[in-house]
Amino acid sequence: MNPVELAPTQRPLLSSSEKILCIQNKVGLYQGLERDEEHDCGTVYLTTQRLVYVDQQLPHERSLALNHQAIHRCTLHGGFLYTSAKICLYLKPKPTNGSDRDAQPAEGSGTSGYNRQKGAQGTTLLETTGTTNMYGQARPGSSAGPIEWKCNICDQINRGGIKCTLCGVPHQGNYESTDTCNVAADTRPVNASGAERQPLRCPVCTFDNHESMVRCEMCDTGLSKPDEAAADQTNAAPSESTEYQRLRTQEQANSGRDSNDAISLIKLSFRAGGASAFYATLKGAVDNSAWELIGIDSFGEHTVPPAPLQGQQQSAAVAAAGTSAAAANSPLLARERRPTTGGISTIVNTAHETQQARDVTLRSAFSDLDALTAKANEIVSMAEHIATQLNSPAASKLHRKGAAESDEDNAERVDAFRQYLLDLGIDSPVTRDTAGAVFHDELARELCDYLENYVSQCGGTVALVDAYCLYNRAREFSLVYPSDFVQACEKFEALRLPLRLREYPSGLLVLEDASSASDALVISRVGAYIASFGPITASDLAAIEDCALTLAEERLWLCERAGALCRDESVEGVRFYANAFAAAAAAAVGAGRGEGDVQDPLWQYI
Amino acid sequence: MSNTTAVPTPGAFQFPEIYNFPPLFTRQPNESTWQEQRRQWCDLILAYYRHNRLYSLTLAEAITEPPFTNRQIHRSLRVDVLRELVDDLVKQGNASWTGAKNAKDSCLVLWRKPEVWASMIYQWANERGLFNTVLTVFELANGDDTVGQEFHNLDSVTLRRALDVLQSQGKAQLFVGTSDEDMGVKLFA
Repeated sequence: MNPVELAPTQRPLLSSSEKILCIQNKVGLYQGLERDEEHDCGTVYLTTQRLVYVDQQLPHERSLALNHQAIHRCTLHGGFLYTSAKICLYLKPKPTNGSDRDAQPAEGSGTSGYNRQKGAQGTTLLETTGTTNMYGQARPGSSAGPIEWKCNICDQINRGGIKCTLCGVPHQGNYESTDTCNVAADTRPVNASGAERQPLRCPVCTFDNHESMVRCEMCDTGLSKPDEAAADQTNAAPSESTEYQRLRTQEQANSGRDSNDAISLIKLSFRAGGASAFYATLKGAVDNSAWELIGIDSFGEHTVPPAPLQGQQQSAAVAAAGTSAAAANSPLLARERRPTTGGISTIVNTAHETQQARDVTLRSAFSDLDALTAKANEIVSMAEHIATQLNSPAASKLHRKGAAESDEDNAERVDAFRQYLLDLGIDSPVTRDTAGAVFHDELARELCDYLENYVSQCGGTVALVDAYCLYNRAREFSLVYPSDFVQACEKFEALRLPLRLREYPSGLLVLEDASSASDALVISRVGAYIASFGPITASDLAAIEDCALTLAEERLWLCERAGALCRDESVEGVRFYANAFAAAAAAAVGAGRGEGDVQDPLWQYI
Repeated sequence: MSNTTAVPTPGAFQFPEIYNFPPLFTRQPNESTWQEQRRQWCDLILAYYRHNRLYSLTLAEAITEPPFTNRQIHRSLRVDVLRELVDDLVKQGNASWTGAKNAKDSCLVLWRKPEVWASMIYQWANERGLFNTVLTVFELANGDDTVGQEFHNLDSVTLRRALDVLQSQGKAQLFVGTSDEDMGVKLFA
């Protein structure tokens, strides 16, 4: 396991596409069979890519992460009497480099290609029987849209994988694909049987390209390298496809250069329950990550959305926009059909296709709420993309040139639009389902992550109601209850987070920055305003500080309680002055008593 | 307020600077600020009443007049705040409620305490050799002999208080007449 980077709020920092699936507190680790005293009590976060252990005592020093790819398999052991429930993680052995290449083709039936490839590559596994059906069985539930293909030996229709589940024969390049799925399929034979001679001959237009070209100069068809093709023929078993080959090399690159050591075992001990739920999620996540690895390999550099979305997107595209959209989704196919076009027209066409694909995504995403949920990730990334484009110098130049008459207005609109895009939400919000017992703690941490910047932008204090609305808007679908929100806010102090919930005597609840919004600061600020603007009302202060009126009122009252201000109530409302009573006391005493002597000399007669 | 001023005022009262400070006319919710504000009001009231030789204060009437109304800045004190101020003065011994019991709607402002008046009268009588002589109260306040004395034209109620003090000290004897004006007093050495 590797050390992990934590946010200041002690939550793990997630990568862009990573999401938290499940959180469980009071978990201890075992290295092998030994209890690990250093990592005995902490919170475990299960994300789509990793398993992160955050220690309760020393979160920044002792926290660890484990990638799903490193997990070979996992098992659940229920608790008994004083034994807590445990999940055992069997880690994958580090692979050796290509020593066992020839061992592949003859394998038993009933495994998915991915696993058998593992089995062949790894040296020894603890229980090979367990491996086989774990991935195989879990996959249909978790992957809605892997590619379907028909085995050309036994006609079995397979979903995903590289080898036929029935006969175990690897997926040939020139198989018959079933109707909806054909992204990578038709281009492969071209690659495999392509030109091997020195000038690269285009398989489509037969143009002899220079050997350094990746795509045909004439028709933009992908070209395969001669050395790659040669490697295919000499090295691999006859039935092994290029796809398979690439997968293996990729896998070897992924799983590192470390020495080949024995299988290791890590146990998670669930002292506060929740093991079975965690196990189910973990299994799903590990299976998913295994699938994603294949997905990335088989689609090459073409951007790959997460596996479940792929199928949906394709079927939606076919249904909604007919052939053009389908072409957009499988650009290689479309390009083959088109007559030879090179240069600019191809670029224009590609741009056009991208736009159409985006159109389709948008249309299908907003057609109903479920689709929107499923596509949220995609939409967010599209929005981010547009935001970066708007930020780019080219866009701003265009802007300057294009809009002479309404330049200001336009710039404002672009800014506003950019703001909307950036405000698009929290990627994987904490929910009761994922966090369970630690829901409020985690919610508090996420809140802090999200609101900290906003609070400091707003001068260190934000009304709780505003924060609630803002946060819920960012959560998109899974909204939080006000009561949960308040409970989470009440935990800020206990969790030593940088925000505080504060209740003013009037009952107004605010979130404030624990460090910057001290009362003294507010008092000095308000004092400065009064010194430069004269006496102020709450609405004046709200305008100056750009905050809510209630908040401005509270600030003034706070100053008044501290004795820095005094009020003047009149028909015009309540106006606050610097407290001249204390300051003018001496002068008033002088003026008032100088004239008449309250300290009468005649006191002595009494 | 109108029933006492016999002597023309020696020039207008010089209000302190704080009199033009609008928050002075609002009761401050902050306790320590209010304490300071109260102190300044009490000083102001006593100074004003002493300057103008005023003795009685009817709350409902007074708040429409200076010093409780500042026409320059359009502010005036509320009756309940004034009542609070008078309560404070009473506590200090610088005022006493008059009129119906617990009504708290009029008071005597004792900008000089009865004991002080008493000792002034006693000193004056001593100087004039008027011990063991019966004097009328009217004579004491308005007679020719007292012209130039501090207690000349003293309000009758306040004067009566002062004489009461002397009597309780055993330095005077009061003789009740048909009215307050007719009342006599005899001072002893």
